Amino acid sequence: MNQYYVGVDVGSVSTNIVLLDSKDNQKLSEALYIRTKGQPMESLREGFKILQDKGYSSEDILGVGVTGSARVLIGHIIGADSIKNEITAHAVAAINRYPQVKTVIEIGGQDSKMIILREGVVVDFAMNTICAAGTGSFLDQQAFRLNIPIEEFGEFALRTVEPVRIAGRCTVFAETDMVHKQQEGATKEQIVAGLCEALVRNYLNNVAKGKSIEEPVLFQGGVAFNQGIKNAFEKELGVQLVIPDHFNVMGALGSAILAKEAIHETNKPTLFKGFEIMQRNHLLKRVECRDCSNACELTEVTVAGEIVAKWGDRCGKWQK
Amino acid sequence: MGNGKNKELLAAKIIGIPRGLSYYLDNFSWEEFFEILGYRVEYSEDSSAETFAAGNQLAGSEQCFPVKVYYGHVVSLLQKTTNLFIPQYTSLEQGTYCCPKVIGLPQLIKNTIPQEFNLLTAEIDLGREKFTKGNILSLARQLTWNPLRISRALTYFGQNSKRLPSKIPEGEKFVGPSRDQGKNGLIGVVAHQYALQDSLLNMGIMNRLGEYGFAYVTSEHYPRPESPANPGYFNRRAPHWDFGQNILHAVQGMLLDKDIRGIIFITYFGCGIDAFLEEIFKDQVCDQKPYLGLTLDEHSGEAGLMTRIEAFLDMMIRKEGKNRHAD
Repeated sequence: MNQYYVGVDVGSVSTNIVLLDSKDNQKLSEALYIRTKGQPMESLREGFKILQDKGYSSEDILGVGVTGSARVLIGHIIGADSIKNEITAHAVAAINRYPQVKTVIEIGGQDSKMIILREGVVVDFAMNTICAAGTGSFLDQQAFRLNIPIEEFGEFALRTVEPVRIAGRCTVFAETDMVHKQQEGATKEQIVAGLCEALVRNYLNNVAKGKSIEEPVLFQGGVAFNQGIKNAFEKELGVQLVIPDHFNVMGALGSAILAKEAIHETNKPTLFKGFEIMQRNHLLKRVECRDCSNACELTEVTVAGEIVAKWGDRCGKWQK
Repeated sequence: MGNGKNKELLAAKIIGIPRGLSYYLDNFSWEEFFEILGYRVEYSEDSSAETFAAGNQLAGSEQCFPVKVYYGHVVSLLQKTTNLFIPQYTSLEQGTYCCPKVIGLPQLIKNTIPQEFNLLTAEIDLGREKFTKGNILSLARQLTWNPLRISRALTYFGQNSKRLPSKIPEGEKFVGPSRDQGKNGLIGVVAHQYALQDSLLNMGIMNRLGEYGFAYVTSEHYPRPESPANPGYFNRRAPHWDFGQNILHAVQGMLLDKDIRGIIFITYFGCGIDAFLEEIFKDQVCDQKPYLGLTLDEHSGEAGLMTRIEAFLDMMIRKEGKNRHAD
């Protein structure tokens, strides 16, 4: 009988779940990529349902790791053994797939990252700071505006050799620029290719500034699917990008490995509450704590009228 | 005002001092100074979300986060007293200057806060002793007729105002502060003094370090050398600003300090001083010690901030683990 570690990455655009074979760190038994659509709980319920339908049982799960922007929320609800940030998760996964990796470019929905590794250890990293112009959501929006399915976005970019130049510093300006270029007669293909270049320029100026990019360079995250972006990167950097298999679930893979590490370290049984837990009705609420003038915003989770978790306070009194 | 003619000011016998920016310079006890002149000092409360909300309405949008919070302190103090003391620090030693926002603070506040109040101020340029003394004298004269009190206050200022913050015990000056290493190691936290002291401004980052098993020392523990010297380590001219020099010297000290595993630099959007320093650090610190620059403002989301700090600390913990396995 096979046993597994579950890795969950709940991000802004997609919710990813992997099952990692407990005996073999290279073997992914399942890799799900589900659109979050602003509802992390719903998408996770959907994912767990798929796993249950495929015949996986909660008893075979040895540990669970969670990452992504909703990691704390989801970790509290499903009972995670490891709740880790996306950078660590992506780095761990990159090392797992490609031990000699020196640079990781990861572009997700909400943020984009660069991770610098040497000899299998993270030595430096950067994340986009203020602006979303270098992320997947930006492409998502523009694809929607141009009425192109996001899956075909990259191909569109490849069909032209003359991209137009689009200001990529800010999504609002980029859109103004796009409209302007369209009115001047640029084709959809030229605009899409121009957008890919703008995103790459923005990434290199904001996130990768001052970092020494050495090969091998891994390109992961949902945006790695986009051939147009890959080409733009290779043109700008003058290096070949490696796209790992499972590039779009690397965060989830990393958190599964981190869960395995955590279980081995503590030697305790998993905290996982089972796939069934998501079938119960979790009521989420944002409440403002009125106990002091800091007025922290708290997240409160209620199941059947009973508060099961509450966090988000600076002083720590609710987290216990 | 002038020569103690302001009846309202004299009658109240209370002077309010907002707790922000120059308050944290810690080079001189204004409270005692004003007590000698016969006044009681009221301070504003700890910074909170309310402080910021109040300040943000009045401060211009181009101001930095710490200045906006300072406005909030002024607003809340004005509910207690209409006498406010806002010192005008222009320089802490010859040849260097405070940041323009700190220099212009009294006028900035007076001209943008609609409520009427008595502004007490004095330009303090510690590189120019006579000039500063003259300003302190006219400040004292506004507050009392009593020549004895004035002369005592003046003497007090002369004896106690220091060029540099010097809370650091003598023995620590060279070997660094005595320290607890934490379970996972020691982190150096670098920032302007007001940011280190005010947990609204630093968003409780230091507490988070503790939660992850790290101890920390702040840049306050790495004072500048007695005489103004170039921080030779960075092989460049000393910056023009007092605060910038403090930070550069602190980072130099931390880089040479074997116990410190990584350095976190907290800065704010729109800070001209830090913008220069950040570039130097990105260039020269990264190669030597793990370095994390955090640029904050009122929009900073806790989530993104925590992701960065967590990743930074994880990086060090995992590195150590790897080294252990290698042995």
